[in-house]
Amino acid sequence: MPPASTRFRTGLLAAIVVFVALWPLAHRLLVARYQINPWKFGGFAMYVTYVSSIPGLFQVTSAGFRPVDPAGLSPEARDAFERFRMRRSAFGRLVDPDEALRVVHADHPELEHAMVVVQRLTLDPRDGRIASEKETFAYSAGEPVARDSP
Amino acid sequence: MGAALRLRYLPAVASPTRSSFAQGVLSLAGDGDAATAPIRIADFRRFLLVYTAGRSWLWVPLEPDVQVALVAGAIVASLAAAFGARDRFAVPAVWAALLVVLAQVIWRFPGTANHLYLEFICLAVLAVCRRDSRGADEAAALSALRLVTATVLFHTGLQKVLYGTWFQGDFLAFMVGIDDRFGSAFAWLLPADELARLASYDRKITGAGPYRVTGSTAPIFLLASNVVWIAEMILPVLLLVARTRWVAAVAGLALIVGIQANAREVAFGLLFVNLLLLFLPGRPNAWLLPAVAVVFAWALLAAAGLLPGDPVAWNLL
Repeated sequence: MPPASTRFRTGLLAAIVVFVALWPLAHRLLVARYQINPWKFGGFAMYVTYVSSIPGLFQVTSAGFRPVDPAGLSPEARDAFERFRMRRSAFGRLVDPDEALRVVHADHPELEHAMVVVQRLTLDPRDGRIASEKETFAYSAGEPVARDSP
Repeated sequence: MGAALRLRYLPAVASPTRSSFAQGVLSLAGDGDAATAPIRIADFRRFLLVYTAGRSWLWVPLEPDVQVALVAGAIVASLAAAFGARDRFAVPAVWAALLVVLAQVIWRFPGTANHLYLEFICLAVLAVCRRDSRGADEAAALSALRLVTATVLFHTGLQKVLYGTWFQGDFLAFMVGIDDRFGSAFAWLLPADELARLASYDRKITGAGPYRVTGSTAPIFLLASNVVWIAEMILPVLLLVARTRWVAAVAGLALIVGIQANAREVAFGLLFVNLLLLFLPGRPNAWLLPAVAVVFAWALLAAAGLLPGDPVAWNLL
């Protein structure tokens, strides 16, 4: 019987190996469930598919929707929206734009009613073409009022 | 794999009297000769510490906002590489490098590259290892590194199957269309008009495509696409069987070199080549170390503008 310290280290090594064996499977489930970025988080799913999340900010008026250019926002609001864009690109549906929209509304109260549309583009293996789906978040006075997920 | 097969091929880390689950796991990739394991582990440690140091220095000119922290990390990693070359200082050197890489993993998160996670895992395996007069600890670490290698290779293939974009060559055609690295690599195979068609699609538009190769060379392209995931899933199994290990390691090296001809992910390539070398006899990691040092020296001089090349384009960070 090897000494306890050796057995402990052997156990640690085996635990590392088991983790490396199981994590990519959990990673695949997280991609399917929450649309996290398959290229990230150590799931070794790089070069398996194309994914791009493109969030757009819109002002909702009685006449319809008007796109808002983030470049025209205050620096704080622009940073908050950019932070959301980057986090969404990595964490997928685990991240919503609520915090960013609070900052946007605080600096731009004229955006009384706003909407964020996140378009997710992927490579569809059924026909080899770019497919997309959209998730919509509606806000009133910077607070979330509705969410429409596919 | 059954117990009999394990004992026949891979008995190095199995206790002669009682085998725990952990020992059973590690015996899947044992060497059968604990005498060589300390040398193999020392060679790999020297490579990994040089790799960590070289990679750490490459960050410095690129991130002026956090330059002080990056220089501090690179100095620690360099000291670890210098002292860690000697067995006497192996444990503190590996732990120092492990902490540097952990800081880099956290700093880059969530954008952390997968090769950085793999580097961290390899350092963690070495950090657990202690010098052992019987070589049992080193044999266990060698088995763990081999299993990590086989598992990662298998998962890269399995993920391609699960996402389904390699059966018809879609993802490869997509990369040919959007990325010059892949476009130039397949220019010998695909006609110019086919390359132009794939490059003409706007991937930001729904329905763009099809990213599928047509014409007389399509079967070869499809074969290349499917050989990749099939090899990535079969080679790991062959790596774990002692009889086929040597052939599988050579085939794995050829596969990685072939993939790197397209992807040019040099950091991942260097690390994975050195992991695959752990399956070959002799001291291939030691033989390759000077070449690794030259790659990083070149990259550092290129980053300083003294030699041609772009370490960022080589994905060496």
